[in-house]
Amino acid sequence: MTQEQFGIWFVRNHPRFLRFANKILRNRESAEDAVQKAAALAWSNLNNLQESHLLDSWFYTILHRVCLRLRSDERTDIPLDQMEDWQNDGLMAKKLQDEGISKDLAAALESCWQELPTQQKLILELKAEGESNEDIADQLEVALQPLRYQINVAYKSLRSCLAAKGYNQAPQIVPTLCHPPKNLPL
Amino acid sequence: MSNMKKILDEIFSSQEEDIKFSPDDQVWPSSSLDQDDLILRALKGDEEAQATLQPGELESIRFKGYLLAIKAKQAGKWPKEMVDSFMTLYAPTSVATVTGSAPGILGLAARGLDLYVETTPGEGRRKVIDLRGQGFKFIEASSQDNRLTLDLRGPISSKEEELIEGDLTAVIVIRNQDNQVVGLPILQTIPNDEGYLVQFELQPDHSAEVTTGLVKPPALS
Repeated sequence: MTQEQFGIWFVRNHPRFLRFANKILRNRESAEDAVQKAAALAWSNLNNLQESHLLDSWFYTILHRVCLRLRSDERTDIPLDQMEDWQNDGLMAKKLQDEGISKDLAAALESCWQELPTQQKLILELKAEGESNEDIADQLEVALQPLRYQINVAYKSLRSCLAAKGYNQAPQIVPTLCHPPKNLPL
Repeated sequence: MSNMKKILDEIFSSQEEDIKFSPDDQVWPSSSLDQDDLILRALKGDEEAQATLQPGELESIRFKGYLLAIKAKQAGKWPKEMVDSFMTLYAPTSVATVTGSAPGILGLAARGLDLYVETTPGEGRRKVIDLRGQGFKFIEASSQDNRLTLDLRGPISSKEEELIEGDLTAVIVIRNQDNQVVGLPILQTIPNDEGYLVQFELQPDHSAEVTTGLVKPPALS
């Protein structure tokens, strides 16, 4: 995809990106800021887009991360060169550890997470923000049924991947949160 | 329960099932890219592509792209080459025509809006002309220090607050007889009680015959 082709696509879809950002940031000015920054990042990194049919989920991922960054940063204007961490992976591992999940399991899930297709990663990132399926469908302006399908496929992939890493059942998750001290007398 | 723990629970508790894909399970259809290519060709002057598009579609895209570029330029959020690329591709063309022959702005017309304003060399200010059919009034144009200020007043209807089309921002381009842009787009728009003041800057070389255009959001027309 060329930058000109991206430009056309961006212009045509700009209103829904603005709505998406506005729902996260709840501020029109910040939303416009986020969309402009996301567009600049995407335009400059188009070579990272592997297939053009993934453009929607790729761009929404960028925009979502820019919105999160803007929301978490008190500064209202973050220069573009300080927004380059939008594509850094490790987002989920950090979130998992922040929520008290063991480092090993967090690393395993992060690794499996990275294997997911872009749109499934995006949808689960939104779920990780606490959004319901209905809210995500509303935010992305897509139908609920394909969204549920993608979530099911993502869960299946993650379950298989985690099983291959030795994590087979949900009940085993909790004990891994607290490793008993070694050499404790029984 | 935290969000991530909930997801982990859902991962392990969801039932193992045979999931078969159908085209309806695609979250975003990819077919619109064909339309994007068509628009790109049309913007570049491909008459066949232009004839394929819906009436007004090309003008709408052109306006939106240009407006986005102007806003991004004003905000300083886009790399220069990105702004230039947008402004080149989406630059309004032949929306309106008027000619003049003296320093400063001599005329402004937007035939599509039934607007026609003439000024006299050196006078700097002009009369009020109705933008018939649109309810807009062109209150004043003053040319001073290479800056032209337009005062547009009228019913500003915002169809949907979140949409950029809801903003009234006139895009004005002045071209010389070689079709080169000699008037830079908007420096600023200043909302007032009844409309917007639109101000833009002229290039030093504006002595040539000029062509001006006033573009209004197609969604409002």
